[in-house]
Amino acid sequence: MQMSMLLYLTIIATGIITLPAITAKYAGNDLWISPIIASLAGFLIVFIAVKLHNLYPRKTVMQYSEDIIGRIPGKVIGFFVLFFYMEITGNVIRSYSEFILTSFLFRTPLIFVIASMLILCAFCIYGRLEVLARCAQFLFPVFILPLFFSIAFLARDFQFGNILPVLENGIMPPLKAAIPPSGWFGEIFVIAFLLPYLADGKKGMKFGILSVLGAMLTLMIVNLAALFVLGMAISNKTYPLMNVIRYASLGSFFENIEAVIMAVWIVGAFVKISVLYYVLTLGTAQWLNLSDYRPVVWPIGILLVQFTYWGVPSEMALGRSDATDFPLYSFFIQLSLPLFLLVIALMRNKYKKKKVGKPVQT
Amino acid sequence: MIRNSKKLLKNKGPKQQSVTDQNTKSQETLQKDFQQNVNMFRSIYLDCSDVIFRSFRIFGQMDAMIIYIEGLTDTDLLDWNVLSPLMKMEADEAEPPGIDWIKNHLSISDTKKVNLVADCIESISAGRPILLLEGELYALSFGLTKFEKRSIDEPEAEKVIRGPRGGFIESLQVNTSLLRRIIKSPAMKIKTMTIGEYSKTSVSLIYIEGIVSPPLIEEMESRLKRIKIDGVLESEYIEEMIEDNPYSPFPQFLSTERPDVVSASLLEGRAAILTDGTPFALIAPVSFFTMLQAPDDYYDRYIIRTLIRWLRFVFLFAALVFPALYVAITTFHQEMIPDALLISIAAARENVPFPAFVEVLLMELMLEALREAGVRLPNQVGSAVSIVGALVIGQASVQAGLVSAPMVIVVATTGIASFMIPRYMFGYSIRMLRFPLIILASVSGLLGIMLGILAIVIHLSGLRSFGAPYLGPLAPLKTSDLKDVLWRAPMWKMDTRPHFNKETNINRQAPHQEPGPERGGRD
Amino acid sequence: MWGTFFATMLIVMTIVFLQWPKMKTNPKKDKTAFIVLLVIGLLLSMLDLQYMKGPTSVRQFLFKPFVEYMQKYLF
Repeated sequence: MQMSMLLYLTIIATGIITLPAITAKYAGNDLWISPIIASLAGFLIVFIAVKLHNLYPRKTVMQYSEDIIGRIPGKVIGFFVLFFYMEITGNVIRSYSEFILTSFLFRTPLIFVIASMLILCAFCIYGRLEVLARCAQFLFPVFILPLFFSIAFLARDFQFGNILPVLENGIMPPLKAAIPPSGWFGEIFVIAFLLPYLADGKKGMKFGILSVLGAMLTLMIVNLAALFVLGMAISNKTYPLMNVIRYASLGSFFENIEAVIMAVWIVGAFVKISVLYYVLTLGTAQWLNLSDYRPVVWPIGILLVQFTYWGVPSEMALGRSDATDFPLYSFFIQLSLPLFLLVIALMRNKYKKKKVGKPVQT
Repeated sequence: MIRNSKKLLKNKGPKQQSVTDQNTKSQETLQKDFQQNVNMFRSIYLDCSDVIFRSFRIFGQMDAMIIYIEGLTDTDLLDWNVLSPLMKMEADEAEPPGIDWIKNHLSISDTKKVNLVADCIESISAGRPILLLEGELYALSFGLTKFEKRSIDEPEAEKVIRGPRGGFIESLQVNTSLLRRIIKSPAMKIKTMTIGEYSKTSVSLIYIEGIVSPPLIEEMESRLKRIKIDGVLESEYIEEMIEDNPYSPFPQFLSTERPDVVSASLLEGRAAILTDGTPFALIAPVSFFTMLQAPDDYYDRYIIRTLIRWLRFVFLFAALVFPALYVAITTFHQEMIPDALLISIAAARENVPFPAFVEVLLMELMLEALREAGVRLPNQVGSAVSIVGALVIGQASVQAGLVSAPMVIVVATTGIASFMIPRYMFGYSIRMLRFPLIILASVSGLLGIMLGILAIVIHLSGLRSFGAPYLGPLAPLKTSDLKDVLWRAPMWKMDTRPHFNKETNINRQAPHQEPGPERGGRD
Repeated sequence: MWGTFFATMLIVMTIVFLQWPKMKTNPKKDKTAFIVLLVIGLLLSMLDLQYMKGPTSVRQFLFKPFVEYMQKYLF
């Protein structure tokens, strides 16, 4: 259950702010269908990760990739995976900070926002996975309740007509628009790093699917809310949810409750960055066969700060890459690589079974 | 033996550590030679004018000596039941007079034979007089302890409207008897040990066998045993020596003066530590939410208490962030204030020379100073200080334009909110954490507050109290335990005990006991 | 630019100062990894990362054909 909440927050945290705009660009008013399609990728990845974990119990990707395709190729794959996580963690931190700066604290230096968040995350993962999991669990209501309450307050501004006409241009636009969010659903692959530490290993599949499902529903609701309020103007905004919440009012007294969104955003970003950071440090430690991941937590923190800057002159560049090559990259690392590993592992198992005549012990 | 007492005398120099300690280490026993024993005790209690040595003769032939500490022993009983019968006794020819014979002829219920010197000293220190006899390897120790203690009062800091009024006092014996009067089952175990090299304080570990998880008791015992300290004056000494995270601002024990709170905790599968010399008992394991449960919660209708519990949650949050929010919003996010309110706040703040941060810090520090001053002063003066503080300083500083009126409201609300926390020690932690949050808010507004709260959540997530997660049962989630956290379930619904340890005996009572008119007397 | 380097240097030193005593019992490998990662961090701090071609550009370059392919067929 803890893991579900962890994964759910990982997928959803940054997605809800920017994704509606990106999907609306391609799908128009059918943007609410895209999360459903995109979540298929999520389900597939959960399935692959759990299957691989069943074949190599109590091991993470870093460990079984070496078992499957040998030491050196395994290390190479491990390096790619690590580099990928390093990069997307950097990107996540960057987009978190940019959002804070452009929406709330205009005069604060970027490095302050980045560093303060990373220090917190480092402390969190330094306390091992259980601390991270408990934080996520405790913060889960803090994330979800304000979000839904503020959407509920919006209800009187809803124009349900905005949803029509459904599927005007056929299924293709929402399909296309599903590509960017599927990049987000791809992040469910962190499950492959968490499964070995789950107290009840058999429930991994259930929890994974539950979190993908939850993320899909939330994205759908947020997309719909944005659509009902903003109509076709969504695609022009960078942060549609923010604009939507600006409409919300509690009675006629509290008119600007976007602070709520900021709180939600910080909480979500915190969990997401912590999870990715954890995966990164754990992966690095296993890649280098270290006895404990904790010594590398802080050094990696420095690298992460540098990766948030590296080659990213501005938020615009980040947004562009989010929409185009990020999903492909994410797919390549989080879907194709594990799929490749799974196929080889299955083949090897079959081959060995024929040869030895009994199940392989790994 | 002479050699040993000489060594003791020699050791009385400045580099000498402790007389009693050496005796404890060397398992020295009493000797056959009466005079030797007497000399030894005299050298141990050299320059202790409160120790009385009374020598006399039994049957007019056998040398004997009683040693006790003045004021710790009931001398009336000692005179009537020990001295006078022994002095008046006639020798019985049939039986040679010996320690067992004497023991059997004294009308004292609690009589112990002791052999070790260390035990004798412990006995004397505890107020039990020692009887040394000529030609005996054993001494007799009598349970005639009596010292001044105050009567059982209602605890000042933990008052209830409805519920038992008795509180613990400074005597461990009285305190354990108060508990035993509530929980009469022999399953309630009291393990007593002595802690403190000089103070020799009795410390009792209390639990209910069959409910508590055995590893918890083992862990607590081993932690208590590892304490090496010169004296234990209050339970805090013990708390700080055995807690899980010594660097946390949060208390990892519940300290209470109420026997009913201790009993309730024992019944939930927790363990209590009682210390002689203080009315405060320690209870562990506890969680964040234990600190927000007041004894009243269980002595009043559950629907009302659930609402009050929620009120408490809200005000806990307010006590923590309200001043910080004020600083953040007035300095960084003015656009969030509704227009009407903004105008009145701006008008009030117009003449104030300080930035909101300084203003808040000033007033909060003033509030803390008032509170601290009020604690130290006697009751009558204390209320005067509060009135002067609240009325004069608050009113005057607003009129003088030093602080704004909304600011005073914010600070006063925080003050009230922090006093709503039922556990005073926990309230301290919350009040202390308010200051870093104010500073963070002044540096980076709402972001700072959020980061501060996240830091607190991270800290709490990692915190444990004797193995039980501090944020439990919320994280990790135990749905069945939420019945006593998010709301106060009615008594007939509290079927299970909290699960902070797997080994705990979970079932508290028979299920399905919901009462109703049609239920009648059936089961 | 040197400011960044010295700031990183300071942070690195703080980390070493705080973390090293805790790693006394760890195997040599852990210590080596710790040092090497810190040195990489220091080296990177000497570059002007924000305006340099970074991993994002590399991946944009790598995936360019795919993106173009996708855009041609899908959009």
